[in-house]
Amino acid sequence: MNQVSASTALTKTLHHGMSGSTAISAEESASRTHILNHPHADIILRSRDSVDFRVAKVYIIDSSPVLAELIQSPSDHSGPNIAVPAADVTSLPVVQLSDSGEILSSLLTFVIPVTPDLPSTVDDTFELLSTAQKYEMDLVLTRIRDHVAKQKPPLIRDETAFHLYSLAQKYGLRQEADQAARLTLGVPMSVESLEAAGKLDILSGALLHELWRYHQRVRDYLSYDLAGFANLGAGARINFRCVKLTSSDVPMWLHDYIDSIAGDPMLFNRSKFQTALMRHVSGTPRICISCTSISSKTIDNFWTALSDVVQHSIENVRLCVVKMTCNDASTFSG
Amino acid sequence: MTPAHFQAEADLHLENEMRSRQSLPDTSALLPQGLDTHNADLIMQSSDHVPFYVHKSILSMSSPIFRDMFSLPQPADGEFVDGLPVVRLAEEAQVLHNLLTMIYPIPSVIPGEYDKALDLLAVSQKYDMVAIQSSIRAEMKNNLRPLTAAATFRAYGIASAKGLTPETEAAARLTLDFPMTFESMGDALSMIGGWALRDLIRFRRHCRDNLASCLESLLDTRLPPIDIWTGCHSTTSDIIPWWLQAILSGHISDLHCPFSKSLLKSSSIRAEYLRALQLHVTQTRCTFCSKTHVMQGETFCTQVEKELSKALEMVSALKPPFYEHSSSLNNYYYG
Repeated sequence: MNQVSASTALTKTLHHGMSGSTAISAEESASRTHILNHPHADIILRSRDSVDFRVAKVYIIDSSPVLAELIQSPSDHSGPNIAVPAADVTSLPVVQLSDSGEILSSLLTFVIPVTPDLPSTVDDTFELLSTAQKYEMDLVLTRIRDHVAKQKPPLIRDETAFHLYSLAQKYGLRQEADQAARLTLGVPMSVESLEAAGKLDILSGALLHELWRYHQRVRDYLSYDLAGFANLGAGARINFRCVKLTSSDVPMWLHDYIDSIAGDPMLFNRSKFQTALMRHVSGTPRICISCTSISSKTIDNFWTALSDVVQHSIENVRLCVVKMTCNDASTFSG
Repeated sequence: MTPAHFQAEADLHLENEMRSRQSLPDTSALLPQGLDTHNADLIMQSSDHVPFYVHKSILSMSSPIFRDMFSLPQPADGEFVDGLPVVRLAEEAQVLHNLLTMIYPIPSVIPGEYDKALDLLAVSQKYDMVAIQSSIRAEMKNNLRPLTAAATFRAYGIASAKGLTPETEAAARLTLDFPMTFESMGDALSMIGGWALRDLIRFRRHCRDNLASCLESLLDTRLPPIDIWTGCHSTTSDIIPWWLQAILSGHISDLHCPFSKSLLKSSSIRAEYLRALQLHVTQTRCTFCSKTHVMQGETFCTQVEKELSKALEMVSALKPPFYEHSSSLNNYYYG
């Protein structure tokens, strides 16, 4: 595609909205014009598909040390993906970038003071985050993440966790990979169950292996922290009159319940807790009337304390970003 | 110049020489024994910087890739050492060492580890060394196989990543002998690429489906080979003996978990059959089963083994299911 037609195509896309909506506000229209042709433009950022963005370089220099160095260095400086060719017909210097017009267009809405605009697909949104990360745009990255966090439904949720874990790994987005991996903790991590849920089609062996190791590490942390909570902390001593207490004065049934969470984080669930309590109060060998009268406030306090321990444990575990190979990358292309 | 000067100069010379020797990698252990490097006209340098002095003519005879490479004029800015052109290769010294033992008329060294033999095979495939590939394959077929679950899954990962088609298929079949769990695969899982993992899962699933169909058809008392067993006094007349039913049904039940357990091997069914029969005859003194076994037991076992093997052989690890033996689709179910 030549430069003019690509620009025209993108302009059309911008003016008609990425998602195909034809009705855009005047504010949005002005924003998009600013991105393509800023009134104080003194540099052109050219995408890999030859879309030109005439921008004021002060915004770019302020946002990205990588691009700042590139723009301010002599024209013979070139990185692996970036080159600075001679000035074009407009006489503005041109910076050739390796990113697509669509991603650059979205990125610039977080750089220039206009209405922020996320790409229409999740894949492109992750590419956008990755691009901001590549150019070390820390503030812009935070802005994009804030914007992503406001999406409804959330971008990273139970249904999308595996796909977005793989995408985040592909783009080297540690924060998103961690977020997505945490959501997979609710899924039993066995080949059998993942296969049945159709999750194995999404991941390469390397990504799957790292996810499995992550689950193992979470269990190890949970096991250690929950043992401390059940045996040493005061949070689990919710009823001293229970028919069966541990040596730490924690009801035995509660101790067992806490202990079971390390083996299966899915059991960290209020209804599972209630089931354990009900089984105890009505169970064998003796019915425990005392535990039936534990106040809801005591239970709420216990649950808050337990949640803190579980959350702290999980947040302490970090994923390793997997180095992708051609074979891994093939997972995402089809 | 005083004697002290001479001594100092000699010491410096010696020190420099020692430093120089220390900086060179010790390549003597890596050079193939008996390799005649006289009249070498090329240096092959491994990725870990070990130089191998070799002869273009020998390499050209073994590999059309090298032959074509040497037919091109040497680039003007090419690297020379000791007056010889240097070709830098992506392979490590150990692999090149083994490869040279296969090319030169010296005792060939094929690694004893399956993984490393696959690496060598992949290099010989890369340089289109057909005869050498055959030798390595023959050696692997006769003397090498991965022994543990992790080694088998690793072999599959390497073979699929390097495009070694027969080895990918063979390794995929060997993985059926082990559970396909995170624990059994271990680090080997990280060597299996996206498509390869999907292929392996599909392959296992289809093997499972075919085995299940095969076992179910073997339970059909109207058809051979199972029909010979109707008549055991411990069961009603038209049903096969419970001990035999238990074996076959047990395996069908196990196939519901094709990943957490190894898949049924046709070779293991005979031992199970003999154990169960012996127990049944000892406990019930069943003359029918005893007699049937003596008369037709061997044929029955052979047929069952054959059917089970056929069910597995019909599935390819490399082809999508709709290409697989379409004529057999009426007999076996593909999920």
